[in-house]
Amino acid sequence: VVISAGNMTEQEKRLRLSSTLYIGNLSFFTTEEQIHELFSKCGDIKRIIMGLDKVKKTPCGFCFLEFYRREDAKHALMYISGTRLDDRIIRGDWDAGFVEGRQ
Amino acid sequence: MSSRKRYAEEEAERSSKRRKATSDQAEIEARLESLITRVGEKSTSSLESNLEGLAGVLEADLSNYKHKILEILCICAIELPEKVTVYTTLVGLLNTKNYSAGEELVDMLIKQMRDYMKHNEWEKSQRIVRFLSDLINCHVVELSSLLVLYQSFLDASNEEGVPQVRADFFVYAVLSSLPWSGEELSESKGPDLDKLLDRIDKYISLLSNALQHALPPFTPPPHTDECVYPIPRVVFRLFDATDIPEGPALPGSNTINRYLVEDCLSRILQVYLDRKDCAAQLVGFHAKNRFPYHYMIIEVVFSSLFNLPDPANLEVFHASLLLELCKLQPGFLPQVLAQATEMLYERVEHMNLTCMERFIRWFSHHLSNFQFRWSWDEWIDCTEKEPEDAKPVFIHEVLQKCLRLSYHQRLVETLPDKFEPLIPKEPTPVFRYIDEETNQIPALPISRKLIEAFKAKATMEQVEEILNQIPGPKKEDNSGEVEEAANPLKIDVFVQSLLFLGQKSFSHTFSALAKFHPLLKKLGNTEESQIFMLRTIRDLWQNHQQMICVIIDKLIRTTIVSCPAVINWIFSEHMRVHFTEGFVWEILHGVLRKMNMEVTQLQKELEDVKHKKSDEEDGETSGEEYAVSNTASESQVEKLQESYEAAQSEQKNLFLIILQRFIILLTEHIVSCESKGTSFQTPWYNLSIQRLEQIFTLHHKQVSKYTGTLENLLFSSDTDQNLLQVYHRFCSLRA
Repeated sequence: VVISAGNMTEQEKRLRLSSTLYIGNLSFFTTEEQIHELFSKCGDIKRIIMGLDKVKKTPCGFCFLEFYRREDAKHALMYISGTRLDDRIIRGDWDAGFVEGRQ
Repeated sequence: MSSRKRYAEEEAERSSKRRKATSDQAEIEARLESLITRVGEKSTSSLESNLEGLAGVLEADLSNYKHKILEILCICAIELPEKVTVYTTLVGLLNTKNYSAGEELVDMLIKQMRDYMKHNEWEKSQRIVRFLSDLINCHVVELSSLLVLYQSFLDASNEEGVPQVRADFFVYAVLSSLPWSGEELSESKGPDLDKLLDRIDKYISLLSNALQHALPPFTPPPHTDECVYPIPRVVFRLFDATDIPEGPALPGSNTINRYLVEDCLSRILQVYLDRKDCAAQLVGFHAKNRFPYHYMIIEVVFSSLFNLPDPANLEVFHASLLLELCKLQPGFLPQVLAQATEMLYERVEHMNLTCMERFIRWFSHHLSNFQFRWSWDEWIDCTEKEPEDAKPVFIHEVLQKCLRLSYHQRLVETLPDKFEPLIPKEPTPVFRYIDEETNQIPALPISRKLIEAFKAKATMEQVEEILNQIPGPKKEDNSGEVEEAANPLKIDVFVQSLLFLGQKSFSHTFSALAKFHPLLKKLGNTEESQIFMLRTIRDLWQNHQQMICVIIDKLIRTTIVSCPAVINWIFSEHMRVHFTEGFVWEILHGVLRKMNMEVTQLQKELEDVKHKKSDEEDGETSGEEYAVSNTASESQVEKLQESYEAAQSEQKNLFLIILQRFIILLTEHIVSCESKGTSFQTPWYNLSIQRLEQIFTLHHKQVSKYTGTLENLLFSSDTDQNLLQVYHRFCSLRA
């Protein structure tokens, strides 16, 4: 119990400082390039990691999106999340930061 | 029970009481704040009775919470200017109940106004002037003392040797508050006072017996070198009454009603940054039945987006807000927005280039939310014009952006066939080292070997060995030593092959660049070879502008190419065919933005460290520990100071290179046209001189630091008049 509580606060701390977003409800055909173009409207993007299907290694509808600045990520949540890309309403949320293997 | 334990328990009880007291207090204060800020919002009872009720509540709380209440009222006066008359009325009611509270509030406002002026927050100080002006209608402020305040403002605008923008501000502050105080001030009936306020006006007669306050004497703070005044503005106008088929008439451009409604709506844009709140506030505008408010909302949103030099809000906010407005009022707003878009398109050849780019970015973004559906057939005229005319250029750039947000096939399917020449090419690589029948391409075998090696995950050394099969031209440097000169073929075959293999996505490209970073650094060891590298990238990705932009961004961040190399490449002969295209300027302004950000970041770090150091010195750290930490931060400060100054001079250098290249290019063009006896004002020239102007527009804050140098080196009396005009227009922003 103690350990998980510790993890919790660690996780919360990382969320508060994070400039990474989780973006969901993407079309399977949406490319990194399209995501880059849309979210660049809020600021410079450091990297995009496409969520991949475990077996087929194809995009499966989500990605992680890291900005250089937290402020820009905040604006992406305010002004892009809930609007359309490839005709689908995409949804964003804070992410504590990408860890290798989470795809 | 031991006395110590008892003491501890009592102490705990006391502190819990204290906590309870403070939390009660905080709760009441939060409740007061919510009551005050929400008055005037949609409600089942009338505004009059709400105000009266609230005044009663506040009166009861004045004994304990006077300072807090006055503070909240002050904040509302500044932060909720669209409800100015609501709050002045509330203050009027409070003043009738408690004279000394009224007096304290007036003093507080005057003090705030002076502080704002001292801190260059001129707009906020103007809102206070307006608030004070309306307080005469509520019999809180004496009419004659307001006149004295206006007088002191006009005196400040008459001072000698101060910038025009200072005088402008003081005159504007008086004029823009006259709609509130004008009627009382002037015996003759001027233009009708704002009809919005009719209801509240009648109510205000209640207040006629209240005692009024004299404003304390006010002298505007003097002009100093640190003063930064608001930049002059041009009023944005899109619609007039004839554009609106039915419903209430649009007030004319020069009427005070137009000004007041716009002012109110644009304040909403500045206060409500959440797109949903903002859209709801705009649509719920309380005087909407008297005005064609859908049209006025759209005009105000575009006015904010097209504001120069900077948009009044974050650029992407506007697109997001317009989507929300269309969602909220699907029966009205999309039509008005479409009409506005038509009108903007019709006028696009007279549009400022910076505004046109914002228009392009908004429109393509908006279309991507509506399946790219548009009455394209109505714009078919653009396909018959010269390709460099404004309309086809606009459409082509819009389609470039649409392509980035979707894919090539989608555009081909969506657009009428006649638009085909304006649709960008399919964004596939144009690879030089491809097996042609002739097989005459130099270094084709090397490229093949490289690709095999990449696929086999060869080491850097193995790859370099293959590459070294291309003999490099040698040159002697000053000391007589022979070294390898920049080798265009080597760079070309390596970079093209590497990026061709990474074509699948940005991530593939980035990881290829990261993997061979040391080799790329080595190949691009001079500015000349960096420019070769950029050329070869443009050749490969000539049909994929977005790819060129992101690769260059990465190359700068990983210091493979320098900022000046990118600038010099943009102005090189090789890029002449692209010079008027949007993506080139996206790259250039991206370079400047990164540079500006680096300088800002270093400045912040330096200030933080200095701050920390002075804190330490003030603190009571002593002895050895103190000495160690002190020397550590001493060298830290020195080091940061050095990198900050280096970055600053790099930044200045960058601007000087750009401006110099522009002057050379444009002067050459003018001279050559004059010698041929043709007009120099070609479409190319008109676009290019606007690109020069755009450097000043988008980076006015940085460039204004260099005016001395610029006047000595670049924009002196022997510079061409056409270019000097651009420079002088920029200077008048602060003159």
